[in-house]
Amino acid sequence: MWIPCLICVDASFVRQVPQLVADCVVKGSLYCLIAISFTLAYSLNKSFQFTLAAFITLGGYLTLACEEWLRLPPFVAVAVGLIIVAGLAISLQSALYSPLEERDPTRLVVILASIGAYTILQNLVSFFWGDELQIFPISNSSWLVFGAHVTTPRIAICITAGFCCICLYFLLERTTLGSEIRAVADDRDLANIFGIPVKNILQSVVIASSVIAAFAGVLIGYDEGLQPTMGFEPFLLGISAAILGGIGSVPGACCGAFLMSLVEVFGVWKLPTYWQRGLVFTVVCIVIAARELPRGRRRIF
Amino acid sequence: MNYILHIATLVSIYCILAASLDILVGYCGLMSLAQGAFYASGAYGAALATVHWHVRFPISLFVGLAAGLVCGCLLSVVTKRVRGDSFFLVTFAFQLVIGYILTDAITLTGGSLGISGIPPVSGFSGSQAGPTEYVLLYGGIAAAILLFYKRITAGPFGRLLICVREDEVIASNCGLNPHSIKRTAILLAASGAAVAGALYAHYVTFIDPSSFTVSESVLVLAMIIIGGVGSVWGPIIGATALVCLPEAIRFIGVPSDEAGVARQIIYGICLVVLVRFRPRGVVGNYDFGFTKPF
Repeated sequence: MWIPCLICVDASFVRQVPQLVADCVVKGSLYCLIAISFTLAYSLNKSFQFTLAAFITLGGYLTLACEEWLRLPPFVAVAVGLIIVAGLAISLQSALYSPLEERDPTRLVVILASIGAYTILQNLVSFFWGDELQIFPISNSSWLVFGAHVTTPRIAICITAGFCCICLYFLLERTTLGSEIRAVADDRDLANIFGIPVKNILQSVVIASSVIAAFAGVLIGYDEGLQPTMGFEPFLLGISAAILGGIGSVPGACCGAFLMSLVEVFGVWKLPTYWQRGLVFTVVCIVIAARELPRGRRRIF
Repeated sequence: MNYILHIATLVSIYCILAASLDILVGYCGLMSLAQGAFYASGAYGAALATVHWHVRFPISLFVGLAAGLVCGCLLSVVTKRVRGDSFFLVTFAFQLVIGYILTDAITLTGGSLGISGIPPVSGFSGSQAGPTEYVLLYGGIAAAILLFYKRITAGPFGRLLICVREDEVIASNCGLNPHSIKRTAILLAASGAAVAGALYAHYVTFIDPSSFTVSESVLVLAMIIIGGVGSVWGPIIGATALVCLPEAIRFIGVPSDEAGVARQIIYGICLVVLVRFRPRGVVGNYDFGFTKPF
């Protein structure tokens, strides 16, 4: 069935291809950002924290608040927003997750606590800003590149994702800090015995993962606008990308993210567009069900 | 008075929802966010049957139940080998898929406009049912379903569920089939939620996708965690508390929009505090396992 489809592609489809490829790259980069942020947090904490979805939302909203209410220039506003989110992540870690961790809970306990925290944060956002779509007060300029329309935030998404992936990969593979992070992810007790500052490493990873997630939220905000529930979907897609590529691997997360975006963009080009979201999350279901999360000790990163 | 009866009707619907989720969470140890999806399938099944095929109330209940069972079968096929946090993620994605089908398949479900004109339950005297009759009928159905679940969980099947929850490997060593036991648990949860959905559709006579979102699933999960899982009274306490909470907030003068937000914040705080200090909830028998004592 596929071969006749491919042979008799009509002219209108050929014209659509550049745009589809561009969409695919942008979405893949976005999922990639969230996937590496999730894979960092999961490898170190060994637990699934829903609050990452709240950091995506909060990153966008806090930046908007800094721009609109404090009248800060865009770059400063983004920086301030990210710093606040990082502070929040650290305080959540020390007030909620670390005390839970000391009692050695099963993962479901941490999920429950993080859902509670997520609910609080999301509703605080909708309490302060309301449920309507909020748009950043800038106009996005659009260019035509190889027949595809691209906007500034979309290019920023791609550049950030590439930059983060490469930096993180070299950080983990080539530097002392990276090998310490890998040691803590592999066996926390043993790392402690060897004198690695486990707490500091944990904190820096929490900061890194929350900042990456929040920056993804800022970029989504510039691209599509902000809503209190906007963290859910990219979060779940990012997680399934990380799971598809293998938890604890940065290149794996990238591959998984681009596979997910391929499914999302090209999987439905013969179907009406309103099946897109349903199809993508059906794939998510199957991916998570087919690839179990890693259990016990094994090499990560 | 009518207002109190309205609250009582809602409480009985949510009691069914919470008790059916408790089978899955409290007895089988599978934490699920798909309860809203089953709830939706029951409601839409009953609504479509009454609007398109003009069936009457008790029969539409069974159509809703059938729709819920189909949904449950789908989920149990996907999650055959999955436990723990993966199961949770799959049910989360499943809930999103059902939500998208409800909003996107416009010809079938009416999209985000929903289905209106669902006939209310006809009363005992033939005319439209009043609030008292609703409370009696729904309370009766809820009580029957809760008794049914109590019989099941107190009996041999309840022990099988607990065995699978505690150790799946030992369960299969004893000659049990954990997959089929999990499937039965999912179907039990789905059927209860579907009945609750059908009752809801007949009560409010208008349904749209916004009543069956992820936050609805989180609400039901919060109910049983707060009340306590693995017990008879836990879901009842949790459902009553969380249904009455926004009414109480509204009573002290907060506008209803903000009352909804405030309710969610309060149950988020309840979840965090309970998990941190009393993971068994108010009267629960199971806490998802801490390996170290306090």
